[in-house]
Amino acid sequence: MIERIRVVLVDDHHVVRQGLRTYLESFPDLEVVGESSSGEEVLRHIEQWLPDVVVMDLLMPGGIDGVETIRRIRQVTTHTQIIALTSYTDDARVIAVLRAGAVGYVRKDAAPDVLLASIRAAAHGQSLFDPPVVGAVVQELSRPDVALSEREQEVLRQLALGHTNREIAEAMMVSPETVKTHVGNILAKLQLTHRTQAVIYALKCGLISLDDIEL
Amino acid sequence: MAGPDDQLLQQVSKTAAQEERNRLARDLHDSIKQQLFSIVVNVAAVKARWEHNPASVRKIVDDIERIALEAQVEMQALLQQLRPTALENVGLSESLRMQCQALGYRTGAEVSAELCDLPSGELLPAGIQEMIFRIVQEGFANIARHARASHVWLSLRRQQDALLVEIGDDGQGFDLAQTQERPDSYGGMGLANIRERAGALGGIVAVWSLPGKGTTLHLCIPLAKAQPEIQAQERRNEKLAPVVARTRGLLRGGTLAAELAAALILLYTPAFIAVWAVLTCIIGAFGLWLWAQRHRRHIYRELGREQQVNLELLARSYGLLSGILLLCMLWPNYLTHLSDVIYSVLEPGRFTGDTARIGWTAGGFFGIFTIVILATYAQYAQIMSRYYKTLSYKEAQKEDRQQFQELVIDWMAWSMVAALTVFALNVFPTILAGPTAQSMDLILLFAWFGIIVLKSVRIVREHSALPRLAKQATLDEKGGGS
Repeated sequence: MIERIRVVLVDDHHVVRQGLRTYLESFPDLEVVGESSSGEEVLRHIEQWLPDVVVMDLLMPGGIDGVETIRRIRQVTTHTQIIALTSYTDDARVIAVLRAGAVGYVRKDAAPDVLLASIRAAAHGQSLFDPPVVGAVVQELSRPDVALSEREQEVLRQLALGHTNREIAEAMMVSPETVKTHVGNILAKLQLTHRTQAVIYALKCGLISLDDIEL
Repeated sequence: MAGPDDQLLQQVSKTAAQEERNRLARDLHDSIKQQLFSIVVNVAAVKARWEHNPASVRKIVDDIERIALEAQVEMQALLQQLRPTALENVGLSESLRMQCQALGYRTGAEVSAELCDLPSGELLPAGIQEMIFRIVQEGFANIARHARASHVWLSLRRQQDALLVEIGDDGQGFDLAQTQERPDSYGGMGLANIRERAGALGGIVAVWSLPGKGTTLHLCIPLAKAQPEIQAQERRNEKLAPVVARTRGLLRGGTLAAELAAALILLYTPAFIAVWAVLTCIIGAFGLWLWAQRHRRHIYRELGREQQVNLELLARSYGLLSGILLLCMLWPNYLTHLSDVIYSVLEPGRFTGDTARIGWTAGGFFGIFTIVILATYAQYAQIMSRYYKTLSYKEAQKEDRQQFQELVIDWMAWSMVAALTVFALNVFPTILAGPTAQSMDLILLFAWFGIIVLKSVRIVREHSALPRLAKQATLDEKGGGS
């Protein structure tokens, strides 16, 4: 008997998990070994389930979101491949998901066999993208690489959330002068002249999502 | 021309409309979109199994049917939120039950509803029903978005003169102190909206929440204690309406009779006709006045003295009475030619003996009558201003306009009659009427002039009080809205 692909489903809507399970279990090479309704829950069980592929919804209100969950799963295990399954297809989100460590991105509007193919590809260590998403990926790859240090990325993220230098300094436990230096470096590296532009950049490259700065 | 306020208002309503659309989009995404997705993958599962595992297909088809039905309920619940008229059709309880069902489908939580029999429509006007519906909607939206609850309950209870609404969940709760830092959370925007809506009803909102334990929202809406009293008052008013109408009619009839008498005098009716005609009018007017008083006393006993209708009728009564008294003062002249005496006493050298006695009598007669008439008129003016104070701004505005029109007509009529008098006295001094009719006409003309001047003063004063009333009205509105 062939070894089956172990799949875990993460979505806050029960009706979605039920449908996906029924669909995926229609194929003899797939096996749904677990499902959960939140990022926190899947992180608790991931080592126990040890899936080959996680199919992950991005928008899960009331806790950590999909992108953060992907990031943390990747920290726990490198074996598990992750596919984002969502209704939203803005470039920023796609990039954020890929940066967080997912190998696939499938829209909920896509035909079910696109998801099926993506899961099979992911299980074999390949990436298969839903065609409408590819544009964003290509654009991201063709963008000149700007290397912001981890520290600088954090400052940029905080900046984009609307925090002042002082607040950022308190949050990162450094002096405001240090933050000021970081901000100066970020603007110089990105060839930007103003903090607002930095916020837009952070949005575009998926360091933050629009949800984070919802007013 | 749109002022900055209008622009701001437009901006605000535009933002509100946009917010509503965003909410709707989010709700659609959270509910029906997910169900449609589920239906699509379930159908794909059916297609995949059709050949090699037909036995399992039956259950999936059942699932598809169930999900489609759930989607229908959610769609219905969303439409209900969009069209408040649905409340009128199916009622608040039924609408709330549907919202509960939809919330259950959307979140997978078990939602229970315990709804008491709602007070009748009179006690719970459609406005309050919609407010309750919106508050529950807002509360449920918060639960769906933030709570991650497995149990949700909604209860509606009536306690004496208040309606208690409880929305609770056993979800993850939140720290009440931190809500200001997370404006999109349950305690942030959502709760602010709820408080605002409840405030408009004079209601009170209390929220309890513990992280990890869930959230409970209590809403208490007063059901207007005075409602039965107001209703009783309205019933009384309704019962009295025909009496009020009859009283008004009687007073109008009396006024017409008095006006007819005045017209007879002003139009130089020969004394031998006028003496009877005017007397008949006076008696008629007084009779109608008395009759009206009987009805008015009944109204006064039922409603109280300071009640608007009573004040209005009382003022009209005094107005008519002062008119009748004026006519009563003039009428004896037809018999005694007292006015001729006044003319004669004004001639120097003749104010002695009998003439003096008659002169004093005449002076006393006119003086006393004038004082009584003025006193009656003062009563009329005073009660009129009290009546004005019971009016709302809009009513006062209407009354003001009406009185102003009356005043213009008064002045025009007076000018015409005055012109006619001057004309008649100069052209046909003797053909038209004797000296009695002439003197009567002159006295009445002057009296009428006096009355119109007084009326003008009163109306101008009331008119100048209008802006203050307008300010009060806007203040009241603001006070009621906050």
